[in-house]
Amino acid sequence: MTFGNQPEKSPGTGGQSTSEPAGTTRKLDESPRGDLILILVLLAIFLFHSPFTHWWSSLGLPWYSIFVFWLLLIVLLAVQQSKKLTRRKTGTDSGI
Amino acid sequence: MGIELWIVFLIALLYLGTLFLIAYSADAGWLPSKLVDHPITYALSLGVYATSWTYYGSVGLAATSGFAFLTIYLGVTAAFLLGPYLLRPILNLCHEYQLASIADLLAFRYGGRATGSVVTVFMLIGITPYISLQIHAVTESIQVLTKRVPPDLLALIFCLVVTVFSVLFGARHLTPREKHKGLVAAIAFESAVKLIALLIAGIFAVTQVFGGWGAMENWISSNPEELQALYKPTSTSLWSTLLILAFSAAFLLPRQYHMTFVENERPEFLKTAYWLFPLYLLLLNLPIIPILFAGKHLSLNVAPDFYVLGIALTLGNNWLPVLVFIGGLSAATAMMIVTTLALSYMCLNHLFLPTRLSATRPEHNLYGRILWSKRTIIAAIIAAGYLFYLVIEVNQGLASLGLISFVAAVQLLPGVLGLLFWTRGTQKGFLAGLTGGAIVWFSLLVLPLLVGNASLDSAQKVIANFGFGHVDVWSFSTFCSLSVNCLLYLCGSLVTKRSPTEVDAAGICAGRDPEVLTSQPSLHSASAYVAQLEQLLGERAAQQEVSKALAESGIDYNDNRSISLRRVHERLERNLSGLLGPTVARLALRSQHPLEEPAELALAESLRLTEARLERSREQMRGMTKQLDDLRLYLRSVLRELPLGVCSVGPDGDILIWNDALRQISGIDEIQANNSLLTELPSPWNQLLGNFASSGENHQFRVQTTVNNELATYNLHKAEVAYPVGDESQSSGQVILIEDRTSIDLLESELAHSERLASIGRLSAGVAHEIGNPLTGIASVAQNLQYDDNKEEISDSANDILEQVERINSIVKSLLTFSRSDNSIGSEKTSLDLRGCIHEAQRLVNLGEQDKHIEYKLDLPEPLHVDANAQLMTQVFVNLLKNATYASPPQARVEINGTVGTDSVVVRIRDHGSGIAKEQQGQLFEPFFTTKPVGEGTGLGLPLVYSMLSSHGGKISLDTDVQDGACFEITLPASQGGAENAAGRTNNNQ
Repeated sequence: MTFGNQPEKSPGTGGQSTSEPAGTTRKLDESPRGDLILILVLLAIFLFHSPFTHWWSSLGLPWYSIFVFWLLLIVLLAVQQSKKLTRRKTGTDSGI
Repeated sequence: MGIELWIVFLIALLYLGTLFLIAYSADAGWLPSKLVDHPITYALSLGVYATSWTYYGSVGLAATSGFAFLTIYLGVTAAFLLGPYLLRPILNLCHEYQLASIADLLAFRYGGRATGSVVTVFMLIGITPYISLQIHAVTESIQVLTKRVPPDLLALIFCLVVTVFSVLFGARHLTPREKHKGLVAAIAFESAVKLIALLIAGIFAVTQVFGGWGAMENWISSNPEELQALYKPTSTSLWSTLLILAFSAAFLLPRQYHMTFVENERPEFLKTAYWLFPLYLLLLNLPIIPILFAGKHLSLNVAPDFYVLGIALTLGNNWLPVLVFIGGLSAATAMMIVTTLALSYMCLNHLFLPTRLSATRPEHNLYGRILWSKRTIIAAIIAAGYLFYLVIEVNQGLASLGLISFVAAVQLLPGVLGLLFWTRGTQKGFLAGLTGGAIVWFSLLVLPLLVGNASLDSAQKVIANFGFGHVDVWSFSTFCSLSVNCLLYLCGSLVTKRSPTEVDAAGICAGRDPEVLTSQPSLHSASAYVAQLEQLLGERAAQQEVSKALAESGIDYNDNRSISLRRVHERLERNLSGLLGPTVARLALRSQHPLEEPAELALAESLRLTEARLERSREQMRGMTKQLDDLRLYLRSVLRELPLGVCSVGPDGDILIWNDALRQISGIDEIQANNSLLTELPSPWNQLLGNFASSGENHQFRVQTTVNNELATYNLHKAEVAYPVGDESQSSGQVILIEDRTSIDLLESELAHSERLASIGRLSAGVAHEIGNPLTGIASVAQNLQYDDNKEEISDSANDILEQVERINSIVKSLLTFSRSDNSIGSEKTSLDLRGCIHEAQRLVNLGEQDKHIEYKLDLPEPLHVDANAQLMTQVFVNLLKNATYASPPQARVEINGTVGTDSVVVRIRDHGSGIAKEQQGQLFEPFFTTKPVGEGTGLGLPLVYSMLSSHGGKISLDTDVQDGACFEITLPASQGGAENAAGRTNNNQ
């Protein structure tokens, strides 16, 4: 096992801010918070690029309905980010 | 009603001036940094995505294609939804490797000058229609407002003004790594302006045109075909196509790349932008439908693109059209400024500088030349946009020009996705795909505009000829170009081999930390780097860059260690990448002096990078991985908190671990130690540890050295460590433990002194008696002296007095010598005969134990030469004889005999007293263990004896075979000088 004396720090090398490894690639299903993002992506596809899209667009909904769906996605994304922020402060979160 | 042209011109200049003032204030620090460095400011600055296409063209696109206009923003939302997997890795790469453009990013991954050049040229051509869109939008909006002035002249003036402001915003001076804080602030401001303007226009459309929300709903109800027309495109191919185009444009358009990644100051701002930027786009597009319906309701006599202006003019007040115009101007100019800035950087680094710097003539004023080149390129790009504007007639709405650029931008998508997720991609495959896609794009979308009747209808006809008449031109061209692109990229990559550079870059982009620069820099000093760079950059620039790299690395100019120079080399390459682009940076550093053959992997660097990567990845760890990492952290904490100094050294002698205790002992901090070889540490540590590491001993005790002008004593221990653990074939390093005995030795010395003083206290009765006897004799002789007349008798009496005085003097001298404190650690040792110490000890003990009349039988036939401290040896024998006397009954005998062996001297002290019980024998040398009643002994005598003998390399033991009484045996190393003398005398005697 190797270990060194790098201090636990929030900034990166040379005082730079903490960042994930450059070019980190992670598969959606392997990331700890990827499950929520995956759900949001599926929801987005479901709403805006699926047979369901064709269905609700044929219902003659008010013109602002599409904005409501869009806002729903944005709100869910904001909630997911803020939850992540809270968990990070209590040290129980894994962040992306 | 219209507005005077000069008023419009003045307003435009004032607004642009305001933007510039905001930018200047932010750069100068006049604006609060909390406002400038804020995630909301960053998210708003991304609003440069919304150009005059959004401001004017969205209404036009909504009129022709319904809700398809929203896909341009829904696609962006999708890209930001996938931000952690798409945007964040790119951001990390950009920050880590100073990649200041999309061309830099792709050149970094796929390597070679050709990659950067091809991407730059393609982007220049692809974005030109987009620039001309802005010119169209502004000139036509002015035409709508003023209803006069030939558009070409207006367009030219607009282009000249934007050129000046682009130079002022982005090319006033060279900025490291292309960061412009002021630009971000200005763009954020203009994003807010256009949002407010559009929202107000929308509110007016609803309240003033329709007379309220209900009235608008009534109008919609009475015109159901309008609502149906909005939803119709959701089931067409156009919907999907525009989603994909917008998805890629969100981060591949040069201006979006620049604002999202290059101008990003803090990665955490991106997390706020994930949701805030889509929210901004939603609010920006909310008024579009009401404006469209209002325009149709009013049956405006302008193109749908300009309904927003038409409505403002129709409502009758002056300020609304001005506000709307400012919003549109804002959108157009922001796009042009940021785009030309981004493109100029790409041109400079991938087209201009590589050719300039390959010349042998050194550039004396490189920075000046770069600056003026940048300004020239900015003007040329805007001029190209103007020419395109002159040549092309926009008869299918403003959006069509933008979509041409979007289809161009999407050609980079396969290469970028390959960069992030597919390590097999090669430069040849990427260039083949990009070239193939570009050719299809050009043929289907640009060529029809340049020939024939300059319309996309020509393209539609071509598509219809292929049997795809039902497919819109955008879907067809996107599908064809992307298919060709992907196919050539995949096939080209699979049939070509990756170069070592591409393999490395692919690994880095896929998430591996940068490999340690395993090659040794061939330049051996900072001044050599200056000379190297001077040949290409000029003297001033070279000196400046090297000084900056040294300062940022915290390395001294005269530090020529290979580890330090390696860091300087890496830092230089990064800084030059930020200034000149990665291609030129590598060229400048390695063109004439390629790196030497790869050296052994730098273990220290590798360990540090692995540690750093584990720290950064810790948040994503789960399960077994996290448990292992927890264990790693625990063990590291154990090492760090260990009260012993720990130093781990690799096979090359480079220091891997330097814990806190060792930092306190040595005064050398971890950072300095980890950057050094063992032999490069400051004195005396380089010699102390270096000599020990190379010696054959695993333990060295009481090693003395001078630290900060004071004597210090250490115990050193070491062990071999193989790396990787368990692989015996690998050369091993060492772990060295350093135990500081300095304070312990001082304490022992003080303890011994206290014990001596305590002994003197116990001897006080005997001392008084011994001194009293001669004093009585002196008094008696002196009394008689008063009555003596005889000279001879007087002389005899004087001699008696002197004799008694000498006797007293001797006793006092012994006491003083014995009581002297010896604060010097490692007491002075000399070659002495132990017999003298034994006699002195016997005399001192006798002072206190006269009543017992102990007979001391000394059998010391020959000299017992040892290298020792006389005072300490005397104390040893005082303690042992006292114990023997204490344990013996009155008139008993205490025997002391000494023998000399080959290398040692042995002294045995035997008494015939009460002896030592078997169960107490194991505790004899434990501190504070005593069999004497309370107050009569401290229990420190024998432990001190043990310690004093140990410090002389000797030992003491109890002879357990002796039944009556006790016998202690002391062994000390013989003095070499004394042993030789003894041997000589023996030989002589023979």
